[in-house]
Amino acid sequence: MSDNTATLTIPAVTLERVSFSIDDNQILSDVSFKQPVGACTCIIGGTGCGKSTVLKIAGGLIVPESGAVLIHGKNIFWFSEKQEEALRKVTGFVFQNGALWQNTSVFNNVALPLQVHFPELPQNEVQKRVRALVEELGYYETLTVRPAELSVGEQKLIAIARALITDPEIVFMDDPTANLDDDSIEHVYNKITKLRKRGVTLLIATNNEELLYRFADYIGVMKLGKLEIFGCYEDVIENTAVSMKGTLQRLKRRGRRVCEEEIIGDGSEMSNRSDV
Amino acid sequence: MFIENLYNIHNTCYVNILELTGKKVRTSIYSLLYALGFFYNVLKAIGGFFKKRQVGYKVLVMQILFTGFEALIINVVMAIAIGAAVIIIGTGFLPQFGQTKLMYQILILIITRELGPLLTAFVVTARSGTAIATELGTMVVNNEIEAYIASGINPISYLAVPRLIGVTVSMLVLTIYFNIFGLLGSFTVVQLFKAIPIREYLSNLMQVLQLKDIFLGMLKALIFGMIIAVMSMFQGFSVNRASTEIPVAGIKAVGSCIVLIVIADVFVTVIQYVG
Repeated sequence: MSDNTATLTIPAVTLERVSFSIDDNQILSDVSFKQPVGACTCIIGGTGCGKSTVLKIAGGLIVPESGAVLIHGKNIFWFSEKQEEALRKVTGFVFQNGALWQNTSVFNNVALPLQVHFPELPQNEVQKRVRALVEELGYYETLTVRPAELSVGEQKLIAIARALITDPEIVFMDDPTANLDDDSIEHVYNKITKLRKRGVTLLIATNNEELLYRFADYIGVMKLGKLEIFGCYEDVIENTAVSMKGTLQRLKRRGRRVCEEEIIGDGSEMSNRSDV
Repeated sequence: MFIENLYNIHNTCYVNILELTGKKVRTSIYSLLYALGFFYNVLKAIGGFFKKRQVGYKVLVMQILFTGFEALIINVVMAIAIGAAVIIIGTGFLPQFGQTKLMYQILILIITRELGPLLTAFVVTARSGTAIATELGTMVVNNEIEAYIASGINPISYLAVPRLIGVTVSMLVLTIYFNIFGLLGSFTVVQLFKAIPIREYLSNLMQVLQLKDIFLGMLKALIFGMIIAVMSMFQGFSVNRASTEIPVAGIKAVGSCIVLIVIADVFVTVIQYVG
């Protein structure tokens, strides 16, 4: 692991020797990493290598067979109901397939987390926030339709909006740019930029080079359920002795990114680049 | 040699069948225990559902609308038909033994205590049980349940509690309607075939109708409603990853509901007569 992570105090997300299997099929073996507060970590790897599973375990959606998941230093699988409720209020999760609730409208899909966590908000305020967020992500259509009536890309945008509507501190994104057109991807990049400026911790499973280049502070490379390497962007792209060689080489050819500037606030640290 | 082989095959088959049966029984027992645990969790969440300002109220209203209101016509038609059949058979058959008034007793027993809750439960199982199991199964496969958890919405209090309350309330209301239409609606149909004075019919009916009959019918409806809701939700939530498991969940829900409803029916009936 990179020295950068060791210097940070309490990581936002920590996976300690996490293993997971379905029946006899070993999905993850001994995966460990520390995700610093306010940083953007991207998990890359070939199809079926376990990226989504890592994300779901880190987000507390799957209980691993062994190992621990710590959010701000606390094991989430020991949380009480109230602690879990508080955790969900400050985390957002974007699923690979969108996972929108098909039995309700697009509006309700985005508004429901807001209504649950902030029941005191008046309905017109909820409507205003939902409309503002979806438009920020490039969705200008009606919100009264069911998710099934949207294209796959639009569903993804709504899924991103649902994860971000409560202004979470930690966001897990499973392939956020999949199925999106270039304009929509640019909207998502703009939103990620804003999240980074706000100091939001991002854990993203992706193989999108542009996203890696623009936002990744840390990269984890996975192969067959194992984390081959985890470290800061610059270290990992130098290491071509791992899988995803092509991606890493292309990132390396694009050159070093311009600036590493540290912003310290509230005891948290994040790296920020001028080219982001 | 041949005989020996045959003997070995016979023994292997015998052991396999025993093993398979044992495994099946074990799985069924585990499944029932899990379902009981699930039921306990849903019951625990009911208090919270009413205490908090819940967005699940909408789900509850929709469930009552689908299970109770939309099934009303099927239930009413069935109640009138069965009530009419009992009256026609009774008035044609019982006078031969000088037991004309026994018809009212039989009508009450069949409609209020036995067939009312039982047939209503079968209708609700066929319509709502399968719908709940397949809907929840689809939600599991599409990661929608995980999305609820990720968004901080407890699937038990948001999805399960409204369905349990909705199905149970609907069962009670549908059984009341079954009783009304089975006892009174059927009378109007019978008038087409055989004229019975309304005053005579009602006074005879009220003479034999006891509060106990209505209470036992309602108790059965309550138990059946809970069985349908819990088993259907349990089968729906038990779907793992493949969409092919969804119809299987529907089939299992119907099977387990019918078996448990019949067992519960016998249990309540035995208690009422033994007690």
